[in-house]
Amino acid sequence: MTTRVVVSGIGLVTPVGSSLEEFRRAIYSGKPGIREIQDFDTSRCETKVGGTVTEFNPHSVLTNKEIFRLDKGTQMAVVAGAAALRDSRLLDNGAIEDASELGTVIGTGTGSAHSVEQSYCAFFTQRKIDPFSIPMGMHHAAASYLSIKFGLRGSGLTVSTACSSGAVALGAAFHEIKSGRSRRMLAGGVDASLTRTHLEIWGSMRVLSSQNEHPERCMKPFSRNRDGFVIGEGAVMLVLEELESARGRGAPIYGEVVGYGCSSDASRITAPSVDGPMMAMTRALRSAEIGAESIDYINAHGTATYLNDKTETEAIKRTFPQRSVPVSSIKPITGHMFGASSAAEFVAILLACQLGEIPPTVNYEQEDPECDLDYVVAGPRKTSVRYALSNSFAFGGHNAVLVAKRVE
Amino acid sequence: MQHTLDTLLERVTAIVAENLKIDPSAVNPDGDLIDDLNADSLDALSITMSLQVEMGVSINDEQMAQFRTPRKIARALWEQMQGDPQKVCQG
Repeated sequence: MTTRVVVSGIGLVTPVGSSLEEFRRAIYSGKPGIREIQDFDTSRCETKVGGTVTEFNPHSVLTNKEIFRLDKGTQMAVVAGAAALRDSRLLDNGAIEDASELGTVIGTGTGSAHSVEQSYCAFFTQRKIDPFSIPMGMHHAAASYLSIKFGLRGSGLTVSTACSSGAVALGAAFHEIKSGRSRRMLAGGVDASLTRTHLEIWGSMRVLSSQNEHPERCMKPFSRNRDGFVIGEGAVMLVLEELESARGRGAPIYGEVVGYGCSSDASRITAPSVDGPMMAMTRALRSAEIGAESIDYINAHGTATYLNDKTETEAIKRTFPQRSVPVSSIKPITGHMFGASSAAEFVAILLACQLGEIPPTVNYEQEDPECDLDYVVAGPRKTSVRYALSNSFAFGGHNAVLVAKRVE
Repeated sequence: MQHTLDTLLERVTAIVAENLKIDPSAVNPDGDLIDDLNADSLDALSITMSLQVEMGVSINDEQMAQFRTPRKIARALWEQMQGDPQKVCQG
Protein backbone atom coordinates (compact mmCIF):
# COMPACT_ATOMS: atom_id res chain seq x y z
CA MET A 1 0.00 0.00 0.00
CA THR A 2 1.29 3.49 -0.83
CA THR A 3 2.26 5.61 2.14
CA ARG A 4 0.46 8.95 2.16
CA VAL A 5 2.40 11.75 3.86
CA VAL A 6 0.45 14.61 5.41
CA VAL A 7 1.18 17.77 7.36
CA SER A 8 -0.37 17.48 10.82
CA GLY A 9 1.19 20.41 12.62
CA ILE A 10 2.42 23.90 11.77
CA GLY A 11 4.43 26.34 13.90
CA LEU A 12 5.70 29.71 12.75
CA VAL A 13 7.74 32.66 13.92
CA THR A 14 7.57 35.30 11.20
CA PRO A 15 7.61 39.08 10.70
CA VAL A 16 3.80 38.94 10.40
CA GLY A 17 3.19 36.99 13.58
CA SER A 18 3.75 33.70 15.31
CA SER A 19 0.49 31.90 14.68
CA LEU A 20 -0.94 30.28 11.58
CA GLU A 21 -3.95 32.58 11.77
CA GLU A 22 -1.80 35.74 11.76
CA PHE A 23 0.27 34.38 8.87
CA ARG A 24 -2.87 33.48 6.90
CA ARG A 25 -4.42 36.88 7.50
CA ALA A 26 -1.25 38.67 6.40
CA ILE A 27 -0.72 36.78 3.15
CA TYR A 28 -4.38 36.99 2.10
CA SER A 29 -4.92 40.61 3.12
CA GLY A 30 -1.59 41.59 1.59
CA LYS A 31 -0.24 43.23 4.74
CA PRO A 32 3.60 43.04 4.78
CA GLY A 33 5.71 42.77 7.92
CA ILE A 34 8.48 44.89 6.42
CA ARG A 35 9.62 47.77 8.59
CA GLU A 36 12.52 50.02 9.46
CA ILE A 37 15.29 48.05 11.19
CA GLN A 38 15.67 49.20 14.81
CA ASP A 39 18.04 46.56 16.19
CA PHE A 40 21.24 48.16 14.93
CA ASP A 41 22.59 51.25 13.25
CA THR A 42 21.76 51.17 9.54
CA SER A 43 23.24 54.58 8.69
CA ARG A 44 25.92 53.00 6.50
CA CYS A 45 23.53 50.52 4.87
CA GLU A 46 21.80 51.35 1.64
CA THR A 47 18.87 49.17 2.67
CA LYS A 48 17.43 50.16 6.04
CA VAL A 49 14.34 47.95 6.16
CA GLY A 50 13.70 44.27 6.74
CA GLY A 51 11.22 41.64 7.76
CA THR A 52 11.96 41.87 11.45
CA VAL A 53 10.22 39.71 14.02
CA THR A 54 8.83 42.14 16.58
CA GLU A 55 6.58 40.02 18.76
CA PHE A 56 8.75 37.05 19.58
CA ASN A 57 8.57 35.66 23.09
CA PRO A 58 11.10 32.84 23.63
CA HIS A 59 10.27 32.76 27.35
CA SER A 60 7.09 30.84 26.52
CA VAL A 61 9.26 27.81 25.71
CA LEU A 62 12.82 28.50 26.87
CA THR A 63 14.42 29.27 30.24
CA ASN A 64 16.63 32.33 30.79
CA LYS A 65 19.72 30.15 30.61
CA GLU A 66 18.60 28.54 27.34
CA ILE A 67 17.91 31.94 25.81
CA PHE A 68 21.40 33.11 26.87
CA ARG A 69 23.02 30.01 25.35
CA LEU A 70 21.09 29.75 22.07
CA ASP A 71 21.39 31.79 18.90
CA LYS A 72 18.37 33.93 17.98
CA GLY A 73 17.60 31.61 15.04
CA THR A 74 17.78 28.51 17.24
CA GLN A 75 15.40 30.15 19.70
CA MET A 76 12.95 30.85 16.87
CA ALA A 77 13.25 27.27 15.61
CA VAL A 78 12.56 25.82 19.05
CA VAL A 79 9.55 28.09 19.62
CA ALA A 80 8.16 27.27 16.14
CA GLY A 81 8.93 23.58 16.68
CA ALA A 82 7.07 23.57 20.00
CA ALA A 83 4.08 25.20 18.32
CA ALA A 84 4.07 22.61 15.52
CA LEU A 85 4.30 19.72 17.99
CA ARG A 86 1.47 21.17 20.10
CA ASP A 87 -0.62 21.80 16.99
CA SER A 88 -0.20 18.19 15.90
CA ARG A 89 -1.33 16.98 19.34
CA LEU A 90 2.07 15.41 19.93
CA LEU A 91 3.22 17.76 22.69
CA ASP A 92 1.01 17.65 25.73
CA ASN A 93 2.08 19.02 29.12
CA GLY A 94 5.74 18.81 28.17
CA ALA A 95 5.66 15.15 27.09
CA ILE A 96 5.95 14.07 23.47
CA GLU A 97 4.13 11.03 22.23
CA ASP A 98 6.58 8.50 20.71
CA ALA A 99 9.47 10.97 20.92
CA SER A 100 11.92 8.14 20.32
CA GLU A 101 10.48 7.74 16.82
CA LEU A 102 10.36 11.42 15.91
CA GLY A 103 13.13 12.72 13.64
CA THR A 104 14.23 16.25 12.79
CA VAL A 105 15.42 17.73 9.54
CA ILE A 106 16.01 21.46 9.48
CA GLY A 107 17.12 23.71 6.65
CA THR A 108 19.11 26.88 7.21
CA GLY A 109 21.01 29.03 4.78
CA THR A 110 23.04 31.25 7.05
CA GLY A 111 23.09 29.16 10.24
CA SER A 112 23.55 30.90 13.57
CA ALA A 113 24.52 34.25 12.10
CA HIS A 114 24.16 36.37 15.23
CA SER A 115 26.27 34.07 17.41
CA VAL A 116 29.00 33.61 14.84
CA GLU A 117 29.25 37.33 14.29
CA GLN A 118 29.33 38.11 18.03
CA SER A 119 32.02 35.48 18.64
CA TYR A 120 34.35 36.87 16.00
CA CYS A 121 33.67 40.44 17.08
CA ALA A 122 34.50 39.63 20.73
CA PHE A 123 37.64 37.75 19.72
CA PHE A 124 39.06 40.31 17.33
CA THR A 125 38.19 43.40 19.36
CA GLN A 126 38.69 42.17 22.95
CA ARG A 127 40.52 38.83 22.55
CA LYS A 128 37.54 37.40 24.42
CA ILE A 129 36.68 33.72 24.09
CA ASP A 130 33.41 32.04 25.01
CA PRO A 131 33.40 28.23 25.13
CA PHE A 132 29.77 28.32 24.03
CA SER A 133 30.69 29.88 20.68
CA ILE A 134 30.85 26.53 18.89
CA PRO A 135 27.58 24.98 20.15
CA MET A 136 25.80 28.30 19.68
CA GLY A 137 27.24 28.97 16.24
CA MET A 138 27.15 25.56 14.61
CA HIS A 139 24.89 25.23 11.59
CA HIS A 140 22.97 22.34 13.10
CA ALA A 141 22.30 24.08 16.42
CA ALA A 142 18.56 24.33 15.70
CA ALA A 143 18.12 20.64 14.81
CA SER A 144 20.27 19.66 17.78
CA TYR A 145 18.41 21.74 20.31
CA LEU A 146 14.98 20.71 19.03
CA SER A 147 16.08 17.13 19.64
CA ILE A 148 17.51 17.93 23.09
CA LYS A 149 14.58 20.09 24.20
CA PHE A 150 11.85 17.63 23.23
CA GLY A 151 13.73 14.32 23.52
CA LEU A 152 13.38 13.59 19.80
CA ARG A 153 15.49 10.52 19.09
CA GLY A 154 14.71 9.75 15.47
CA SER A 155 17.09 10.65 12.65
CA GLY A 156 18.58 14.13 12.85
CA LEU A 157 19.73 16.14 9.89
CA THR A 158 20.55 19.71 8.91
CA VAL A 159 20.61 20.81 5.30
CA SER A 160 22.04 24.03 3.97
CA THR A 161 21.22 24.99 0.40
CA ALA A 162 20.80 28.74 0.88
CA CYS A 163 17.30 29.96 -0.02
CA SER A 164 15.92 26.49 -0.79
CA SER A 165 17.06 24.98 2.55
CA GLY A 166 13.59 24.72 4.07
CA ALA A 167 12.15 23.05 0.96
CA VAL A 168 15.04 20.58 0.82
CA ALA A 169 14.45 19.78 4.50
CA LEU A 170 10.75 19.16 3.86
CA GLY A 171 11.64 17.06 0.82
CA ALA A 172 14.05 14.97 2.88
CA ALA A 173 11.39 14.48 5.57
CA PHE A 174 8.86 13.50 2.91
CA HIS A 175 11.24 10.84 1.54
CA GLU A 176 12.08 9.63 5.05
CA ILE A 177 8.41 8.86 5.75
CA LYS A 178 7.49 7.74 2.25
CA SER A 179 10.30 5.18 2.31
CA GLY A 180 9.15 3.83 5.68
CA ARG A 181 12.40 4.74 7.45
CA SER A 182 10.60 7.13 9.81
CA ARG A 183 7.07 7.42 11.04
CA ARG A 184 7.06 11.11 11.85
CA MET A 185 9.34 14.05 11.22
CA LEU A 186 9.60 17.61 12.51
CA ALA A 187 10.90 19.53 9.51
CA GLY A 188 11.23 23.09 8.31
CA GLY A 189 13.50 26.04 7.87
CA VAL A 190 15.05 28.79 9.93
CA ASP A 191 17.18 31.84 9.31
CA ALA A 192 17.75 34.87 11.51
CA SER A 193 20.54 36.75 9.81
CA LEU A 194 19.42 40.35 10.01
CA THR A 195 22.75 41.63 11.25
CA ARG A 196 24.59 44.73 10.13
CA THR A 197 27.27 42.76 8.30
CA HIS A 198 24.78 40.54 6.49
CA LEU A 199 22.74 43.57 5.49
CA GLU A 200 25.78 45.37 4.09
CA ILE A 201 27.14 42.26 2.34
CA TRP A 202 23.81 41.39 0.71
CA GLY A 203 23.51 45.05 -0.25
CA SER A 204 26.92 44.94 -1.93
CA MET A 205 25.64 42.09 -4.12
CA ARG A 206 22.96 44.50 -5.40
CA VAL A 207 20.07 42.16 -4.75
CA LEU A 208 18.36 44.21 -2.02
CA SER A 209 15.65 46.77 -2.57
CA SER A 210 16.60 50.20 -1.31
CA GLN A 211 13.16 51.81 -1.40
CA ASN A 212 13.41 52.61 2.29
CA GLU A 213 10.79 55.33 2.36
CA HIS A 214 7.96 52.83 1.83
CA PRO A 215 9.01 49.62 3.63
CA GLU A 216 5.75 47.79 2.97
CA ARG A 217 5.84 48.54 -0.72
CA CYS A 218 9.51 47.93 -1.52
CA MET A 219 9.42 44.31 -2.76
CA LYS A 220 7.67 44.10 -6.13
CA PRO A 221 7.92 40.59 -7.59
CA PHE A 222 7.37 40.35 -11.37
CA SER A 223 6.74 44.09 -11.62
CA ARG A 224 8.89 45.94 -14.15
CA ASN A 225 10.08 48.44 -11.51
CA ARG A 226 11.28 45.72 -9.10
CA ASP A 227 14.66 46.32 -7.52
CA GLY A 228 15.27 43.29 -5.30
CA PHE A 229 14.22 41.77 -2.00
CA VAL A 230 14.54 42.67 1.66
CA ILE A 231 15.92 40.29 4.28
CA GLY A 232 13.44 38.71 6.65
CA GLU A 233 13.93 36.51 9.69
CA GLY A 234 11.92 33.62 11.04
CA ALA A 235 11.38 29.92 11.55
CA VAL A 236 8.70 27.66 10.13
CA MET A 237 8.33 24.07 11.36
CA LEU A 238 5.95 21.36 10.22
CA VAL A 239 5.09 17.90 11.46
CA LEU A 240 4.99 15.40 8.61
CA GLU A 241 3.62 11.93 9.14
CA GLU A 242 1.68 9.10 7.59
CA LEU A 243 -2.00 9.92 7.05
CA GLU A 244 -3.51 7.21 9.22
CA SER A 245 -1.15 7.99 12.07
CA ALA A 246 -2.34 11.63 12.07
CA ARG A 247 -5.98 10.60 11.77
CA GLY A 248 -5.64 8.12 14.61
CA ARG A 249 -4.50 10.89 16.93
CA GLY A 250 -7.16 13.34 15.84
CA ALA A 251 -4.51 15.76 14.60
CA PRO A 252 -5.39 18.49 12.10
CA ILE A 253 -4.56 17.55 8.52
CA TYR A 254 -3.50 20.57 6.52
CA GLY A 255 -2.79 18.78 3.28
CA GLU A 256 -0.83 16.02 1.67
CA VAL A 257 2.78 16.19 0.52
CA VAL A 258 2.77 14.34 -2.79
CA GLY A 259 5.86 15.39 -4.69
CA TYR A 260 9.38 16.67 -4.33
CA GLY A 261 11.95 17.40 -7.00
CA CYS A 262 15.35 18.99 -6.86
CA SER A 263 18.11 19.86 -9.28
CA SER A 264 21.38 21.72 -9.56
CA ASP A 265 21.98 24.41 -12.14
CA ALA A 266 25.64 23.41 -12.56
CA SER A 267 26.04 26.86 -14.01
CA ARG A 268 26.85 30.12 -12.25
CA ILE A 269 27.15 30.72 -8.52
CA THR A 270 24.51 33.46 -8.24
CA ALA A 271 22.83 33.89 -11.64
CA PRO A 272 19.80 31.58 -11.95
CA SER A 273 19.27 29.34 -14.94
CA VAL A 274 16.06 28.36 -16.72
CA ASP A 275 16.73 24.66 -17.19
CA GLY A 276 17.69 23.97 -13.54
CA PRO A 277 14.33 25.13 -12.13
CA MET A 278 12.55 23.37 -15.04
CA MET A 279 14.23 20.10 -14.11
CA ALA A 280 13.24 20.51 -10.46
CA MET A 281 9.59 21.27 -11.34
CA THR A 282 9.46 18.36 -13.80
CA ARG A 283 10.93 15.98 -11.23
CA ALA A 284 8.46 17.19 -8.60
CA LEU A 285 5.55 16.49 -10.95
CA ARG A 286 6.98 13.06 -11.74
CA SER A 287 7.40 12.36 -8.03
CA ALA A 288 3.73 13.31 -7.50
CA GLU A 289 2.76 11.09 -10.44
CA ILE A 290 0.75 13.88 -12.04
CA GLY A 291 0.99 15.83 -15.25
CA ALA A 292 1.61 19.57 -15.55
CA GLU A 293 -2.10 20.08 -16.31
CA SER A 294 -3.01 19.04 -12.75
CA ILE A 295 -1.33 22.02 -11.05
CA ASP A 296 -3.82 24.73 -10.07
CA TYR A 297 -1.43 27.17 -8.40
CA ILE A 298 2.29 27.91 -8.30
CA ASN A 299 3.81 29.74 -5.36
CA ALA A 300 6.84 31.30 -7.01
CA HIS A 301 10.29 31.80 -5.56
CA GLY A 302 9.59 35.40 -6.68
CA THR A 303 12.41 37.30 -5.03
CA ALA A 304 11.79 40.51 -7.01
CA THR A 305 15.32 40.52 -8.39
CA TYR A 306 15.52 41.29 -12.09
CA LEU A 307 17.10 37.93 -12.94
CA ASN A 308 15.11 35.58 -10.71
CA ASP A 309 11.69 36.77 -11.79
CA LYS A 310 12.63 36.76 -15.46
CA THR A 311 14.19 33.27 -15.46
CA GLU A 312 11.54 31.80 -13.18
CA THR A 313 8.84 33.09 -15.52
CA GLU A 314 10.57 31.43 -18.46
CA ALA A 315 11.07 28.16 -16.55
CA ILE A 316 7.38 28.05 -15.58
CA LYS A 317 6.28 28.79 -19.16
CA ARG A 318 8.41 25.95 -20.51
CA THR A 319 7.33 23.49 -17.81
CA PHE A 320 3.65 24.36 -18.26
CA PRO A 321 3.43 25.02 -22.01
CA GLN A 322 -0.21 24.04 -22.45
CA ARG A 323 -1.87 26.54 -20.16
CA SER A 324 -1.34 29.52 -17.93
CA VAL A 325 -1.23 28.51 -14.25
CA PRO A 326 -1.96 31.18 -11.61
CA VAL A 327 1.27 32.31 -9.95
CA SER A 328 1.97 34.42 -6.88
CA SER A 329 4.81 35.30 -4.52
CA ILE A 330 4.30 35.97 -0.82
CA LYS A 331 7.88 37.17 -0.24
CA PRO A 332 6.86 40.86 -0.11
CA ILE A 333 4.85 39.96 3.00
CA THR A 334 7.62 38.28 5.03
CA GLY A 335 10.77 39.47 3.30
CA HIS A 336 13.22 36.82 2.20
CA MET A 337 13.60 34.63 5.28
CA PHE A 338 15.94 32.34 3.29
CA GLY A 339 15.57 28.82 4.76
CA ALA A 340 12.37 29.78 6.55
CA SER A 341 10.81 31.27 3.41
CA SER A 342 10.72 28.03 1.47
CA ALA A 343 8.95 26.35 4.41
CA ALA A 344 6.56 29.31 4.82
CA GLU A 345 5.73 29.18 1.13
CA PHE A 346 4.91 25.49 1.43
CA VAL A 347 2.48 26.47 4.20
CA ALA A 348 1.02 29.01 1.74
CA ILE A 349 0.26 26.31 -0.85
CA LEU A 350 -1.29 24.11 1.86
CA LEU A 351 -3.57 27.02 2.77
CA ALA A 352 -4.42 27.65 -0.89
CA CYS A 353 -5.46 24.00 -1.28
CA GLN A 354 -7.42 24.00 1.96
CA LEU A 355 -9.17 27.35 1.49
CA GLY A 356 -9.62 27.28 -2.29
CA GLU A 357 -8.07 30.70 -2.50
CA ILE A 358 -4.74 31.92 -3.85
CA PRO A 359 -2.83 34.58 -1.87
CA PRO A 360 -1.87 37.60 -3.96
CA THR A 361 1.46 39.07 -5.01
CA VAL A 362 1.38 42.50 -3.42
CA ASN A 363 3.06 45.64 -4.76
CA TYR A 364 2.70 44.65 -8.41
CA GLU A 365 2.73 47.97 -10.26
CA GLN A 366 4.03 47.70 -13.81
CA GLU A 367 3.72 45.02 -16.45
CA ASP A 368 7.00 43.58 -17.63
CA PRO A 369 7.10 41.97 -21.10
CA GLU A 370 9.67 39.50 -19.75
CA CYS A 371 7.33 38.47 -16.93
CA ASP A 372 4.09 37.52 -18.62
CA LEU A 373 2.44 34.81 -16.55
CA ASP A 374 -0.99 34.82 -14.92
CA TYR A 375 0.17 36.54 -11.72
CA VAL A 376 -2.44 36.86 -9.01
CA VAL A 377 -2.01 40.51 -8.12
CA ALA A 378 -5.22 42.34 -7.31
CA GLY A 379 -6.17 40.63 -4.08
CA PRO A 380 -6.65 36.92 -3.41
CA ARG A 381 -8.28 34.75 -6.07
CA LYS A 382 -11.01 32.23 -5.23
CA THR A 383 -10.53 29.03 -7.20
CA SER A 384 -10.47 25.32 -6.57
CA VAL A 385 -6.89 24.23 -5.81
CA ARG A 386 -6.41 20.48 -5.80
CA TYR A 387 -2.68 20.43 -6.48
CA ALA A 388 -0.27 23.31 -5.86
CA LEU A 389 3.45 23.65 -6.37
CA SER A 390 6.02 25.71 -4.46
CA ASN A 391 9.29 26.81 -6.07
CA SER A 392 12.47 27.52 -4.12
CA PHE A 393 15.71 28.35 -5.87
CA ALA A 394 19.06 29.23 -4.35
CA PHE A 395 22.44 30.79 -4.85
CA GLY A 396 24.73 27.97 -5.82
CA GLY A 397 22.02 26.67 -8.14
CA HIS A 398 20.22 24.30 -5.77
CA ASN A 399 16.56 24.18 -6.79
CA ALA A 400 13.84 22.48 -4.76
CA VAL A 401 10.16 22.11 -5.62
CA LEU A 402 7.38 20.67 -3.48
CA VAL A 403 3.90 19.61 -4.53
CA ALA A 404 0.94 19.61 -2.13
CA LYS A 405 -2.50 18.12 -2.59
CA ARG A 406 -5.77 18.96 -0.92
CA VAL A 407 -6.87 16.15 1.37
CA GLU A 408 -10.23 14.84 0.21
CA MET B 1 39.78 44.93 46.92
CA GLN B 2 41.27 42.41 49.29
CA HIS B 3 39.07 39.37 49.60
CA THR B 4 38.13 37.51 52.71
CA LEU B 5 36.78 33.99 52.39
CA ASP B 6 33.27 35.41 52.80
CA THR B 7 33.59 38.09 50.12
CA LEU B 8 35.16 35.52 47.85
CA LEU B 9 32.18 33.20 48.34
CA GLU B 10 29.89 36.11 47.57
CA ARG B 11 31.68 36.79 44.28
CA VAL B 12 31.79 33.12 43.31
CA THR B 13 28.05 32.86 43.98
CA ALA B 14 27.42 35.92 41.80
CA ILE B 15 29.57 34.51 38.97
CA VAL B 16 27.82 31.14 39.13
CA ALA B 17 24.43 32.88 39.05
CA GLU B 18 25.44 35.10 36.15
CA ASN B 19 26.65 32.16 34.08
CA LEU B 20 23.59 30.04 34.79
CA LYS B 21 21.20 32.98 34.37
CA ILE B 22 19.58 32.49 37.75
CA ASP B 23 19.07 34.76 40.73
CA PRO B 24 22.04 34.71 43.17
CA SER B 25 19.60 33.93 45.99
CA ALA B 26 18.87 30.62 44.23
CA VAL B 27 22.50 29.53 44.53
CA ASN B 28 23.06 27.38 47.62
CA PRO B 29 26.75 27.73 48.62
CA ASP B 30 26.83 24.00 49.28
CA GLY B 31 24.70 23.00 46.30
CA ASP B 32 26.29 20.83 43.64
CA LEU B 33 26.69 22.76 40.36
CA ILE B 34 25.73 19.79 38.23
CA ASP B 35 23.26 17.88 40.37
CA ASP B 36 21.52 20.82 42.04
CA LEU B 37 21.99 23.71 39.65
CA ASN B 38 21.74 21.74 36.40
CA ALA B 39 25.05 23.03 35.04
CA ASP B 40 26.72 21.10 32.24
CA SER B 41 30.41 20.76 31.41
CA LEU B 42 30.42 23.89 29.26
CA ASP B 43 28.75 25.88 32.04
CA ALA B 44 31.52 24.73 34.38
CA LEU B 45 34.10 25.81 31.84
CA SER B 46 32.43 29.15 31.37
CA ILE B 47 32.30 29.72 35.18
CA THR B 48 35.98 28.80 35.40
CA MET B 49 36.88 31.27 32.66
CA SER B 50 34.93 34.04 34.39
CA LEU B 51 36.73 33.28 37.67
CA GLN B 52 40.12 33.35 35.95
CA VAL B 53 39.42 36.75 34.38
CA GLU B 54 37.95 38.32 37.52
CA MET B 55 40.34 36.85 40.10
CA GLY B 56 43.44 36.89 37.97
CA VAL B 57 44.14 33.26 38.81
CA SER B 58 45.01 30.28 36.68
CA ILE B 59 42.79 27.22 37.10
CA ASN B 60 43.89 23.89 35.63
CA ASP B 61 41.68 20.92 34.64
CA GLU B 62 42.41 19.06 37.87
CA GLN B 63 41.31 22.02 40.01
CA MET B 64 38.25 22.57 37.83
CA ALA B 65 37.14 18.98 38.40
CA GLN B 66 37.05 19.74 42.15
CA PHE B 67 34.80 22.76 41.68
CA ARG B 68 31.57 21.06 42.69
CA THR B 69 30.02 23.69 44.98
CA PRO B 70 30.44 27.48 45.31
CA ARG B 71 31.94 27.03 48.79
CA LYS B 72 34.50 24.52 47.52
CA ILE B 73 35.39 26.89 44.67
CA ALA B 74 35.79 29.84 47.06
CA ARG B 75 37.92 27.76 49.43
CA ALA B 76 40.20 26.57 46.58
CA LEU B 77 40.62 30.11 45.28
CA TRP B 78 41.27 31.40 48.79
CA GLU B 79 44.02 28.85 49.31
CA GLN B 80 45.53 29.66 45.95
CA MET B 81 45.48 33.36 46.72
CA GLN B 82 47.07 32.79 50.13
CA GLY B 83 49.96 31.09 48.39
CA ASP B 84 50.35 33.90 45.90
CA PRO B 85 50.10 37.33 47.59
CA GLN B 86 50.06 39.07 44.22
CA LYS B 87 46.58 37.68 43.57
CA VAL B 88 45.11 38.79 46.88
CA CYS B 89 44.57 42.36 45.79
CA GLN B 90 42.86 41.48 42.58
CA GLY B 91 39.22 40.89 41.94
